[in-house]
Amino acid sequence: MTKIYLPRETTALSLGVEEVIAAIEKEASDRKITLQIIRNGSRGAAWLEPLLEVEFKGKRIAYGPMTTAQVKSLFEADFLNAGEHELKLGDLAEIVWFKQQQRLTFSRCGDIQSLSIDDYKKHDGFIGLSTALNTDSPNIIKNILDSGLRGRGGAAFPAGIKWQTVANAEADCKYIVCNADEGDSGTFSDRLIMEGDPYSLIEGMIIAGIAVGAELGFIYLRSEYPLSKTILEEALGRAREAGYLGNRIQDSAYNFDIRLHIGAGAYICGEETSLLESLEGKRGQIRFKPPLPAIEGLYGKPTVVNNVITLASVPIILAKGAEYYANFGQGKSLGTMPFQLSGNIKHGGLVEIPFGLTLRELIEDFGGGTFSGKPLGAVQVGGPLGAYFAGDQLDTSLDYESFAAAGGMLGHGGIVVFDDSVDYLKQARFAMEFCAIESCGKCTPCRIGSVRGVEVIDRIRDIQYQEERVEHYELLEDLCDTLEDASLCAMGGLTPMPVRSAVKLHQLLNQENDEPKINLKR
Amino acid sequence: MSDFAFNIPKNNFQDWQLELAETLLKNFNIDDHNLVDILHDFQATFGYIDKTLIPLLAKFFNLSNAEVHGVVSFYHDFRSTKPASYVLKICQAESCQAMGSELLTTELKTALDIDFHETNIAADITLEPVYCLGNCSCSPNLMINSQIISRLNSGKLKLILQNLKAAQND
Repeated sequence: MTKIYLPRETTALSLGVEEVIAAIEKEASDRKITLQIIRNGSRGAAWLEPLLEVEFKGKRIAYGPMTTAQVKSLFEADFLNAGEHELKLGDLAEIVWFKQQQRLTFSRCGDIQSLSIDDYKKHDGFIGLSTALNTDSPNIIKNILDSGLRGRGGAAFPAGIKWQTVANAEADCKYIVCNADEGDSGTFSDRLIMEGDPYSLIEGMIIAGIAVGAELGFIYLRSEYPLSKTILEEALGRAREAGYLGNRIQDSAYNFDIRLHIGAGAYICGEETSLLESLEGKRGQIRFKPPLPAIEGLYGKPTVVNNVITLASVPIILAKGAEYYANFGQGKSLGTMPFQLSGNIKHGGLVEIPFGLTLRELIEDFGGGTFSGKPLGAVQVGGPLGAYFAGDQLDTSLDYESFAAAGGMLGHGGIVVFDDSVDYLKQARFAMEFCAIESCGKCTPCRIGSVRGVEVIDRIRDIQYQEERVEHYELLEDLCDTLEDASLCAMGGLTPMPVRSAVKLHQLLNQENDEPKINLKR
Repeated sequence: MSDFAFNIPKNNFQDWQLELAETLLKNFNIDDHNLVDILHDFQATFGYIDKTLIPLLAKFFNLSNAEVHGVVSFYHDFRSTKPASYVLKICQAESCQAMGSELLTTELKTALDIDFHETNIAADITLEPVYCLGNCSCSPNLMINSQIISRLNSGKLKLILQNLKAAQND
């Protein structure tokens, strides 16, 4: 019986994959053909979704993007035997967009049936866990330290050091918390792994538990991901049944279980202390640091708070060794990073590559330029708190240090492309507005400063106040300073990053119109 | 767009009953559920958080009414009024902006003659903003109840509204 693969994943669903499946099933039954439809995760090529794969002579032959209208002609073209068709993309392994990537964290995603533990094991799943079970905590942590793995959520803090701190802390109980509150616009790598390869996250969390001596883990999932919720619930149940969660996992001396919690639509809950408050059922207001969550985290106990991708990268490090992972990347940015191309982009999706490619190469070689076909305008990297880049800045190398030096940040790897119709001042205003909407309200610079920021930018734009533009730019700069220096967390502290970079681009673009140039820091 | 088969289930919420809420509350225990979890459950049942629920929850968690109200009002998800059969959440974040979501939002508001957080009773639609649905490589995005529709454009939007109107008579 021929096996065909179609994703059970949000992007594919949003583009009608269920309707395509219904059409295929009907056509197959009309033709008295039996076939097996396997629901995999997305491989991240959103521009090819819904992507259909046919298993043929040991290969996966890809067709896409699928529409119901094409189903009949696909059968006529004998797609089950790799027949020629206008949607045929050929052998999946030979598609350049995939071939040029280096998939470590996402190596299984799309290959396997998302929820099958058997499939997961056949594709090197749980090897990292068995390594962890056969060694000791210091050795696991040493592996994570040596791999150079840094927090993929945005702050890029070395994961090994965090784990070490929690392992060293003395307490009657410790926790592992997975931050799955992927709120940054332009990011979806957490969602893709949770929907396509949920066991890699579960395995990573179990290993973290063993390493630091925690017996309970929490996944804090944003409410905007209903499908991830369904898939994770199912995966957790199956992992429990198969003895990977619960008491004495795989007959070892270790106990570990995971609970799933759903957020309630607050961007700030992606900040780790705010997330912990929310997990405790409170308002998601941030906490003062110190104490760090590694010392006093959830319910006052030492807690590892890691992003989904950080945790999902752990199994391969344990399975293949720290050195294998650290051989990818450059400088202090080691391993691979799943970048996410979105916005006005032709070939959007997830691109996992070692650190070090330039932003321009990623956008042009993988992204294929803008969706609208217009010239590239600006690119916002690192979510709503990341800087806008344009022109020469696009040649910045994609690694943590180069981005920091260029006045930006890689963050969670989200890259939002705008074409040349972008209105920079409007984007600067939006950054302030977003901060005002999502501020937790605990500190004044963020709560009030963001509102004032919107007002000042409105005055810069307002024709009535054209004479006072210089003063308003100065005010804005002053406000940015205050937000940056006096906010309690990254929300207020980093909002000046998109504001300053966008205002600077606006001034550059309008210099012949006598736009005042005020010395904005970046 | 030919693939757009409209089979999105309508929201079907219970009418608010204090007695029912009291019964439901007995299913929870304070060790396994926190306030946010329970609010989610109540909202899934009734569609919103009725203000008479607040003292109940306060007693259950041994908190003050103000503390419970503080949690309810902090999170964007929790509503204080019952939504329509269809809740449309249109993404306002950067990636969708780059693909023209602002214009589409205006079109939607004009077509429904409502602003964000409002309900067009005749059309049975509630409109909400959302900041990222995590489907950014196929922007702009719209969520109808829990179904996301991507690569939104003017034509698709019109078709959606037509379909919603047709579904009303079902």
